[in-house]
Formats: sequence, structure tokens, C-alpha cells
Amino acid sequence: MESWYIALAYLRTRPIALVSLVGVFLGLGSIVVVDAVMNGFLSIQRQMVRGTHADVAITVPAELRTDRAAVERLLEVVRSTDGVEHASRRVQSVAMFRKWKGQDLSQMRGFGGFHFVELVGIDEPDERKVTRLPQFIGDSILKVSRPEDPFWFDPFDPWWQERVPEKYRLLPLVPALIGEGLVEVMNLSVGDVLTMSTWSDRPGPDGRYGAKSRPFVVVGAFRCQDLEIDYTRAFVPREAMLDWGLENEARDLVVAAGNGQSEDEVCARLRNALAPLGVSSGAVQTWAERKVVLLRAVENERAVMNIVLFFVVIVAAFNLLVTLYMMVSEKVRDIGVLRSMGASATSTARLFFICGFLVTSLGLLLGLVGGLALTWYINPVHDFITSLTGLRLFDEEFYVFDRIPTEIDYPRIAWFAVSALLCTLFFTVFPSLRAAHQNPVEALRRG
Amino acid sequence: MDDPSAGGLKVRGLHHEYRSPGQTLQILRGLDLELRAGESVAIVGRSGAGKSTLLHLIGLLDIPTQGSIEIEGVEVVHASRSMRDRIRRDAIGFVFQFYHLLPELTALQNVLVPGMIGCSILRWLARRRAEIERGRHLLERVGLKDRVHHLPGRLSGGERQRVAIARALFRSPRLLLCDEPTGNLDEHTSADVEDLLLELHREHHSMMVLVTHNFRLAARLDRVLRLEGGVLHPKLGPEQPLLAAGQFLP
Repeated sequence: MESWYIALAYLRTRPIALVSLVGVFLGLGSIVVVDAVMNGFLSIQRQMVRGTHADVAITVPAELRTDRAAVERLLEVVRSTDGVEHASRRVQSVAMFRKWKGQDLSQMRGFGGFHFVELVGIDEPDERKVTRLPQFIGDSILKVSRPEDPFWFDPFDPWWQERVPEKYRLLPLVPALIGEGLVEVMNLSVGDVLTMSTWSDRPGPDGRYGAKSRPFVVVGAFRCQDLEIDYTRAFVPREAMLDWGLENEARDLVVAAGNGQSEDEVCARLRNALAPLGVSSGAVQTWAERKVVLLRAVENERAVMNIVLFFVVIVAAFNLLVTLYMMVSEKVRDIGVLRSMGASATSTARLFFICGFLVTSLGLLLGLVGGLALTWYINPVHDFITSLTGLRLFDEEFYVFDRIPTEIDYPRIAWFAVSALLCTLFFTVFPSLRAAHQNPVEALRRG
Repeated sequence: MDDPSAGGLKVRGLHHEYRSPGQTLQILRGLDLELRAGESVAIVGRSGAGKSTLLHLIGLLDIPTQGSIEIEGVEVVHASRSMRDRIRRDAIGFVFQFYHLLPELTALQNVLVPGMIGCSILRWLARRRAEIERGRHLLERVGLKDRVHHLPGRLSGGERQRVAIARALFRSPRLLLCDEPTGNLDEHTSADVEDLLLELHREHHSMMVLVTHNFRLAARLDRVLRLEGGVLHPKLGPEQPLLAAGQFLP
């Protein structure tokens, strides 16, 4: 009991202990805020990176891509694999496009006005169940123009047909969903007719790859926040690409895992199931595995920031170590007096340990509360600072979102708090042991 | 309590030496001392004779090189560390020349500290009221009723020593060890503190070993012993006239 009582009295009369307290407070508070903001960025980054990727994607072996029966067989195996909810197939090709001027690519004299586009052919009903494409269409700048969303690629949909200029209505138009970046760059709107030109998958009898062009019509736009996709991709009906002469039946099979199913586990099961059909394990990947480099970059950045900020806690712990060492030197006589009254060596050590514990605990508590409060109100605080100083720390022009994103990972915060507590208490042990090893007779004489 | 070995203090053949590189300083050489319950003894001797060392050994703050110490029939030299702590807490009270109050605590808080030692928080909370009452009573008894909440820095030397005496008596120790309790006080204050100390000693019926250079105070105790050559001498020899005159040892 006396250890707590005297420790409180010591701390009350020693403002120097506040320095350590403030250090711990700032250290943990900064970690809480930075970790939450980095989590927010990471979360958005994951959304952006994920884009139109499915939970798991399987690259069909090149030798099977043109074999409809083989692809059907693969799809059947995939759909029957435990944990798979839906699966769809995609074909892919690179094309150039520009607004329709009636020319064929073979008649073109240059590439002026053309944009490269990655054409992805999808089976619309299946694709809706597998990826988040419907959500991205809803997020796009063209969403307000279409109140209902029955079928994007319905060739008889009067909604987009009415928007096609009358002179083009007799063309064999193929509906296309265009990335919002391309829509902005080319100033496209629904009903615009495009020339898309590509090359056949296989060389002709003369050994040369022939160019093929056909008209497409813009029926909508999507924005998945992955700029690379938003500026380069267009979704079109898979059947249309096959009709166009692209002979691949499927390049990828895309898979949605069932609710509550781990993507990694489903991926592992698919690897096992598809191995006998000639699909290598490297061809079966989760979306995160495909984008691992981008995700790791942000995760590493967050880890480095946390380590750097943890040094603030370590500096505070050192400060506490010095403060307590000074306190033990100053209180040698008190140690002797307490020992003469029957206090054990352990209880004198406990006295100084409690001093460190109280400083650390209070600092951590304030750091947690302050850090969480700042995280919760980071945008109003940011706006307030901006209104006071005119300095805009977070400029939404550089980001695809307009508020500072935060996401508090409570277990991680708890882990940091416990680590900070253990780290600081570790430094408290040394002065406490010094107090315990004081010879009471020497202590009384020196005092 | 008639049997000294049962209720008293018995020190037999106490040796103590301080060792430093290349030198061994023999302080005590087979010292014997026996005290009955309620008895008081003054120990006089020149500076460096080993008086304080003897108090520290009897008070279990140090371990003698050789010899035995029995407190109320219990041999304590070879007792475990926790046992020695417990005996020091429950049976021994110290009064120091320089008071040694904890400067951050008020007079009352200083007096209460011995009651807190070895006591859990819950147990302390349960008996807190009674303990505070006892602390106040002791402070009132030493004449510091109006200084209860004063910090030591705001008390005079005499008042601080009174607080120290109240603190030493808080757990009603059977053995009171006083190391020159009036050595830092003026003559008038010293006389007041002497009166108080002896009065409380009689009230508590404790044994008292008092080290002093003050022959007036020594003469008021039951026995006076001289520490010289590492042993206690019942006859004072050259100091006898000083004792009779109530003077200070030079």
C-alpha cells in the first residue's frame, strides 16, 4: 500500500515526470492517428486495386483457349468446386478506337484520334454475379442518365437506341461499357458510335495478321477508381468479340467465392481441382495475389510509419528511465527510512516501478483517447486548421476521394498500446532494481 | 515478561567489521547486551565507536559478522530476509537524529506510513479510518494537533522530531531504537523532546536503546553503557563526572 501512496506523492511533486507522460501520449496518439489514416488509404487502395477483379481468376492455358468444350469442362469443374458461388468467362483483346467516321482500319492513313483500349468480352448475366462491375457503373458520371439498369448489352434496349444518331441506327452496333477516364478524354456520351479496330488472333493464309474493325455504341461508363483500368478498358459482350473473329473462347475464368468463404482457401481448392486438367497452380490466383506489389507497398509504408512513430514511445521510455534514475538517487534516504520501517527491498522497487507504471498508463490512456478523438474528427480538425492558417494539408485534387479516409483497427491499436506499455515498463525495471539493491544502512548514512 | 530471554533483547558475542580493499575495520568485538521488556539503556561513546552500527545491527538493517541477536526469544541474525523485514515492521521503531521524514508527505501521512507497510490496499481501506484516528491521536499526544496537515518543510526541528517519534511509535513497537534523537536540537527543544520520548517510552512499555552524546538524557534512562573498543562497558570511567554533571560527551 505504501508504494502506491508514496509513488503518487512523488509524482505530484515532480513535474519532470510530465515530460515522459507527454512523450508517451504523443507517441501512442500519433500511432493511433497515423495507423487509422494509413488503414483508410489502404482500404481505398484495396478497392482501387481490386477494381473489376473477381475473387479468384484462372488464366486458361493457351492451348485450351479456342476449344469451347475444354473451356466448358473447366467452367464446370470450377463451378462444382466447394466454396465457389459463381463463375464466368472472359475474353480479352487490345484494340484502337475513335468516334465513328465510317472508315475501316485498312483504309486509315495514320493513327490520329485513335486511343488504345483493352477490350474485355464478358457474359453479362454471369459477370453481374461475379464482379462489382454493376456498382462501378452506378458510380460513374453517366449513372444519372439511366434510371433503370435492366441489361447493359441488350441490343434491343430502346434507352440507348434512342440516343444513337439516326444516321447510324442501321449499323450493326455492339454495346460497350467504357471506362470513365476514356469517356472524359474523348468527351463521350451514351449513344456515341465508335470505330473499334483490332487484329485477328491468328495469322491468315498469307502469314499476316489482318486488321478488323466494327462499330460499337457507348451504352454506359464505369469507374472502379483504378486509373489504369478506368483509362484503358471497355467491356463488351463476349459473343460479339467471338463473332468479330477473335477465336479465343475464353482467356480467363473469373470466380466469386461464397459468402464467408476465404478467397485463399477457395483458390487453393481450385488449384487442386484444376491441376488434373492441365492448369498450373500459378494460373489460379486471388485478386490480391495478382496485385500483391501494389498492396504490399502501402502495407510496408504503414509499417515503416508505425515503427518510426514507435521510436517516439521509446524516446519517452528513455526519458522515464532517466527521470526514475534521478528520482532513485534523490530518494536514497527515503529508501533507507522505508527499509527501517520494515519495507522490503521488493516494495521499494515496487514504489519506483509504480511511478513508471502510473506515468506510462496515464500517457497511454491519454494517447489512446486523444488519438481516437482526433481520428474520429480528423476532417473537421483539418478544415479548422485550414480555415485558421489557409494551409491545406490534404488536397483532394491529388486523390480520388475528397475526405481524409480513416479506418481504426482496434486490435492493432490494442497491440501497440500493450507493446508501448511493456516497452516503457521494461525501462522502468532498471531504476526499480537499483532502488531494491540500495543498502539501507548506506542509504541512511548518505541521506 | 520477567524472563529476559522471552520478552527482551539478548545480544551475544556480536562482531562486526567493514571490509574495504586492503583494509578490514573491526567495529564490534564480541559485544554483549541484554534488555528486559520495558527497560531502557543509553549507549554513549566517542564518535566512530560503533554506536550507530550497533543500532543498525539490532534494528536488523545490517547483518553482523558474527554473534547472535534474539528479540523476544527469536534469533534474528540468521532469519530469512522477509522474516527480518516483518520483525522490523512489527517490533522495531527507529528515531533518527535528522528525523528522516518523507518531505512529500504531511505530518499525519508520515505517521501513517508504518501502518501502510505490508498492508494491501483493500485491507488499508478497511481500516483506514481507525489508522487515521490513531495517527491524529499520536500527533496530538506529541503536541502537534495543529500541525497535522503540515509538510515537514514547514515544521521546526523540534516539531519534525516529534513527528518522527509519533511515526516510530505508530505500530507500538516492543523495541525503540533512537540514534541521537536530540543531537540536532537546541537545548530547550532538546529537553522537551527528551521528556516526550521518555514519557511515551513508559506509556508503551517498550524496550529502548538510545545512542547519545547527551549525558543529561543518558542519565535519565535505566542504564548507561559505554561503547569502547568494540564492547560495552557498564562502568563509565572518565565520563562518570560528565554524566553526574549532565554534560555532553566531548
